[in-house]
Amino acid sequence: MAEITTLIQIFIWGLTAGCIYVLMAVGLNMIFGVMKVVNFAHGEIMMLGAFTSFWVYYYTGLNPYFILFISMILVGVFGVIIERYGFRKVLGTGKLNEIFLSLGLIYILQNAAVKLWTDDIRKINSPFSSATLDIGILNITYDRLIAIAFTALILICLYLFLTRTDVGRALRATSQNHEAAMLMGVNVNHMYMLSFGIGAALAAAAGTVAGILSPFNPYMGTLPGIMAFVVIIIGGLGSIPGAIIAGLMLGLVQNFTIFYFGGAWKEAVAFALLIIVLIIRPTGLFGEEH
Amino acid sequence: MLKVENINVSYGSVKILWDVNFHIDEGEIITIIGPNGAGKTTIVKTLLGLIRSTAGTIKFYGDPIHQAPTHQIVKSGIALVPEGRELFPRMTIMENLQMGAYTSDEREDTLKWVFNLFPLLEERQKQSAGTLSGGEQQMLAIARGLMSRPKLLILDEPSLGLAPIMVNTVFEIVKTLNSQGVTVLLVEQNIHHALEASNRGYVLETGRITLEGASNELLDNNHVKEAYLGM
Amino acid sequence: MTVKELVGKYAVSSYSAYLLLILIGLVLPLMITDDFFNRIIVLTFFYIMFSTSWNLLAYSGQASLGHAAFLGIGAFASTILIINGASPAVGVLMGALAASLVGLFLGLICVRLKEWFLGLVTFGFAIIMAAVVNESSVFIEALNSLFGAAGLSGNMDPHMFGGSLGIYSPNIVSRDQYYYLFFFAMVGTILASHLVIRSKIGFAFAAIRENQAEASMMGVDITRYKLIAFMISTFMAGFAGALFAPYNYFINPEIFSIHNSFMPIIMTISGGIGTIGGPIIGALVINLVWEQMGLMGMSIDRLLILGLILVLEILFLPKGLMPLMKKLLNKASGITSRDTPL
Repeated sequence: MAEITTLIQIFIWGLTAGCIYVLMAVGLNMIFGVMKVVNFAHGEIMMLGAFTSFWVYYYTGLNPYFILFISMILVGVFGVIIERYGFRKVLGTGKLNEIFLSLGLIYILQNAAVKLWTDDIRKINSPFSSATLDIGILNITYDRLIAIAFTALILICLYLFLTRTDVGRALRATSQNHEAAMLMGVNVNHMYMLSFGIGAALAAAAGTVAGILSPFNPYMGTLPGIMAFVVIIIGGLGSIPGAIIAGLMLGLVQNFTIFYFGGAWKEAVAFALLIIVLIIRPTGLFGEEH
Repeated sequence: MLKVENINVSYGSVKILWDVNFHIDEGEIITIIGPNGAGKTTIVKTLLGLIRSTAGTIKFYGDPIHQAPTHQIVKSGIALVPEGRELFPRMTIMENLQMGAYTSDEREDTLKWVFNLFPLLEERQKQSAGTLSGGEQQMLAIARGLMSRPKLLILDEPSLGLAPIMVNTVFEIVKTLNSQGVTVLLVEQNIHHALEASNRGYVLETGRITLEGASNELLDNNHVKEAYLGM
Repeated sequence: MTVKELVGKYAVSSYSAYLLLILIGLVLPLMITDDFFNRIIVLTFFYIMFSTSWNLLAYSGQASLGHAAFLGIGAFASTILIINGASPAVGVLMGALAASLVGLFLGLICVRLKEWFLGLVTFGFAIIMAAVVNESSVFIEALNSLFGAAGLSGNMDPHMFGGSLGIYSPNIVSRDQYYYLFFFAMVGTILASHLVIRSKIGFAFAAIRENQAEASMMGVDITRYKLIAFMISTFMAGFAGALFAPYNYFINPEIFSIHNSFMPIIMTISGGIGTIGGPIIGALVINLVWEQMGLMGMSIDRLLILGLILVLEILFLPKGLMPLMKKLLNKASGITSRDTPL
């Protein structure tokens, strides 16, 4: 029996890790869909989300799960600014410039964070940090369950926004056919800012959840940022369902890999998966031809 | 309502349009005809602000629009049904129509009007646009264009790639729309049909307007007959 | 303007400059006897080699975001070979070859990929390399058996560096010998890059970079030339890494760091991407700025400034310093300014 409970534990850990990837990947995918820009600094935006939550928590002592939404808004606004004064300026000057710009942003955001806040290890304390759900000998911390629930909640809100509102539809329309969206009277520049804002807000949610579940410092975002890329490539560029499935899958595969082979292989496994998918199906599992 | 004066357009160093002049009056069906590569689509894209002209003016109800962004031009009352339909393939018919009405407030009434014109779309409103046949897609594209309640509807090659029976349907719809008060600019390679459906026409050849006049006169014009109608 | 005209124009104004630089390079150790400055100059040479390698790949439209992987493979492979009994020359050469082989493998994956995929795959690959090498005991045991089979000694202690693989590299030659070693290696790398870019291969690279579909219609074998770019570039990076290891005396998985992947990018962009002189000027300027900031006691600040430099350059000076330099150069030699793509 102990064997099975262990596996269930790992399954839950995998799911929560997957939720963080999903939040990251869905945001990245949205930015890519609308702007055809890949933001390599997405992990650093996640880190900003964690720190924003940390400091709001530090000064107000509010419930971190409430702060999560404040952090989403603040970081979302920051994302809009980055789009407007950064990526917008290099749009259309070649894909490489966009990539280099985001590389520069990684350096700026990461090191500015170290400079402002040091690289000390921080943690956002949840009021449930010691509470666990006990079923027999299985015990799962509430924080992990809340993380899963919040991810689901955020994704449902996003889904409703994208399918039930004019602006949400306009976002989808822009990512499906840029010029046609303009012909419908959509101001695509607004859509660019909006997609970046939403992407950053989702990254902030991911950062906050990650910061509640485990300690962090300004370097926390680098690996999840890369993993989010792996996820959108495995799931298919532009496919949000693909990102959700691939994100959860990657979280699970990585956690089982840690259990069976050790922590050092968790990135190697992700990369191996990526290469296999790229060789077998370059458009990803759910992707379409671009 | 629309006045185009001395428009010039270049792609890089290649000049596409040379001093193009034409005008459209309220209630007309105007056609711009010409061979492939003459610059017809370039004119359309320039009207909608998707391409910028290097010289010349475009006025819509007296207001210059040649420097306005596309979304404002659309808001001012021009709708384009683009060549190749350009639908949103992973959206339903209904969602495509809702996108068409993005700038408009009177959505319910317009929807009734459009469904009345295209009953098929009402039946299939939940079907995704990417799964429609070519003819159905063209219907949806026109319907989507109408959803913004445009004062001027521009159709770029609406008959391209359609079966002959669908071509007839498309031109019938154009006439119906016009009779309901929509001004239409028809850009076509299907010259015979286009001239029969329209009041006036312009012939565009290698980036220049070479002929203009009433459509029935153009149909009788020797150059048009020889070059385009194979007579 | 034909390619030949461009080359001719370029040649007159630049060869003299390069010749002058070579002369300066040759006599520099006679003037600079300070160990510290000598090291900075050698590191500059190293970065010029590394940036030139990166630039050559970018010249074919493929921007690697994980070039440190090939640097590290060159460094580790050569060092492991040398401490297992291979001669330094063979070790360095085999190190570069190893990097090139891995480059070919990665190139095969990347051939069909668009820019951002390529960036991600290379970026991720460097991180994976670090993770693999970090698992040193498994890794060293595997290598030992491999070397044993190949007739080399193959008796490295799997736990010689605890959890992570760090290696003391044999320090082969003296300070000034290292200077000339790096100097000639750098000149060789630049020359090789120059010859490649000016050849039919370089023309194919540029064609692919500018418009892949058009290049394909012109009869350029896209896959072949993309792989050639990968192999040459990664060979150069591996070569630079193989020389760096003994010079630095010690290497560990840090060599695969994002920072090492980042340096050739910012250096090349600062100088001028896609130009032969760009990586040279960029590596020189950025390395001097970098070392100067180090002398001023900056650590986090200089990383931050590096990021700012890159972003500002992309926004305001995307062609780098090369066009400015060229103007100066042409003015000095009395040739009217004319933009050349190289």
